[in-house]
Amino acid sequence: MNEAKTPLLQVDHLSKFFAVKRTKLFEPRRQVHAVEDVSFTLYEGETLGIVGESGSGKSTLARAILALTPVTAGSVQYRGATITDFKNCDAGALRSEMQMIFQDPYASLNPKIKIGDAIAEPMRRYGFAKTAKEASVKVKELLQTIGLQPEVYDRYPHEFSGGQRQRIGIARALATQPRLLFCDESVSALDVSVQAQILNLFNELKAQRNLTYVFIGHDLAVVRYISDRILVMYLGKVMEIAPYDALFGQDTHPYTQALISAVPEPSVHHRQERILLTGDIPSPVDPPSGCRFCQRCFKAEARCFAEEPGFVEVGDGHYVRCHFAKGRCEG
Amino acid sequence: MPAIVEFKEYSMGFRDDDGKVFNLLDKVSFNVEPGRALGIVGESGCGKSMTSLSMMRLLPDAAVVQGGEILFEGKNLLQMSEGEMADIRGNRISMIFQEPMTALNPVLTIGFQIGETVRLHHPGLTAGQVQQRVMQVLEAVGISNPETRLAQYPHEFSGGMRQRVMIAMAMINEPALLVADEPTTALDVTVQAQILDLMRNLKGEGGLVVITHNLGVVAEICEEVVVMYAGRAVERGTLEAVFERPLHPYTKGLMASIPTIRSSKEPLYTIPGTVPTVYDFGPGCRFADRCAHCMACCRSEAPPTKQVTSDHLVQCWLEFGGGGIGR
Repeated sequence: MNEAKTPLLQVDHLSKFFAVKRTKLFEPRRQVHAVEDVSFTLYEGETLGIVGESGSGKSTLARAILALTPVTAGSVQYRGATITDFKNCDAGALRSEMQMIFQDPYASLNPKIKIGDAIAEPMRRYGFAKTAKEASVKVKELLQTIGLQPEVYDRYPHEFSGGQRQRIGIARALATQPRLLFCDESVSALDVSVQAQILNLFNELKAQRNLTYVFIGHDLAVVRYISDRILVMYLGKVMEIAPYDALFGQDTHPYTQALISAVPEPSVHHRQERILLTGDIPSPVDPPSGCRFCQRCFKAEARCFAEEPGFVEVGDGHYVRCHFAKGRCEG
Repeated sequence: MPAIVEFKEYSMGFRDDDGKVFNLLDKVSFNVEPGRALGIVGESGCGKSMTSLSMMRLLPDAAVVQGGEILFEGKNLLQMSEGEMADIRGNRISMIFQEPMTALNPVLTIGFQIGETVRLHHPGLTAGQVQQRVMQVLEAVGISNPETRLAQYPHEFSGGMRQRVMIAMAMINEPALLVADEPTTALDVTVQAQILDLMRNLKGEGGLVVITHNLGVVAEICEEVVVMYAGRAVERGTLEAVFERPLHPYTKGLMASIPTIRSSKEPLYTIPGTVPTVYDFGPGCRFADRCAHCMACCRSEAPPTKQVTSDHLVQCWLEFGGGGIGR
């Protein structure tokens, strides 16, 4: 399954720091290390899941890749062309090829604009429909694809339920025929039965339109279900990149193990021994030296506090940033 | 053992601007026994929050009680005066809310806010005794350095710590019943695991009602479950009975539509359609439009409650032989 993959997006040592406002005159300048030294490759047609607690830099990473915020260091390549600096490239074409689906579909739709017009807008802007008439035909087709009646064209956002609004958000993102979709907590606000409908819709659309997804979430069960590979972030750094079926192995990062064990399972069986992490995620201002996770890690020893671990390849496409990880060649 | 709280065919609804009343909760019955935790699960709009607010008598102005009783330690809460209710709230029945940020006052110290509950219900205590009590309870919910912490303000606490403060505030008068409305929804999974662990340990001899949409949370801390759909308690029983042998088609559908950490990549089961709103409830079963087993009687008449085993009750016509139409 690994052969003949074409890289769509290549992220190289991407960092994004935010300056902290000084409160005293001679205070040293401090920075929030929101995203630090993140590298990964996204292949055409795959779904990459990004998980982590709040404050781990998931959303900032997506915004930095989409050039919605300037990056501090590193580069992003999309189909071989560097897009980190949007000024030097064809931003319009890129915007239409990369779209985002947000968490709260109500907040991301203008309450005064009919949903048909809201979907037609990006279509007209990027030249996928030349006339208003053509746009309305295409919007109605699109509404059917995502499971709504074409007649809803003339309705306003408040007339829809949360799940329907999320479908409209998806239609709007699909209007420009993107190749790459960023879903930032796109199902978190939905009820479980609606969440299942939307997750299935994501998978159907992926098969129909050969889409590539970056799926950001905090619910590990949902992210694992939808993703082919999973990237685990903690305090701005990637702790692990793993194929979805390798998450339960012995080789995973202690943080991933803790995240998995914290997910409450809707079953009276297999309640495994809990790994309870103490405390909260520390502040990304002045992150700990050594391993980012050392303060909360149940395996931590002196070395973890002193020295930052590098990536170790523990299996096929499975990388872990931990001193305890055993590389393949070492046995 | 007598139940701490007992809902007996409790019904309530809403009055709209024209004075017309729409029924929401329809003959909801369940009870909470001492030392037991009951989980109320359901999707948004199913009436689970209205159930919890009814227990506290904190319903919005448009709400109308339409019948039934809510017995707390044998006395009907619905008949009590406002004064009697004020003695119960925060003292005998406490509530933990979903948003720990909005439920705390940002301009008052944590110590003052927790102590307020004690001062109100125990006016005889001295300031020193109140502070002593606040420090004890902060320690009990796992907040270190209570002396320094009680002088701090809510913004100095993280989300998980704020939820611990809310629990401390609810626990301080050792209530007989603790109602937690989505206590961990706003928290990260790792912090959620800590809070669930804490709630399990603190439960003690009192009763606990957890209102949530997350079936995993229920499996984690509850012994009894009530599944609500569109204002009715469609299925209830022990955790094992409801989770292992679900009978109502809605419960089955709900369980099948959740991706778990171990599930395969097959398409998820989905319940067709959407939850009906208060304005279009029919006379029959409220799940009928979405149910794969819907029969003629399902649309005409609400299904009565069937006691399947001693610890498992369900409201579904299928359990009554289904009027001759096979499953």
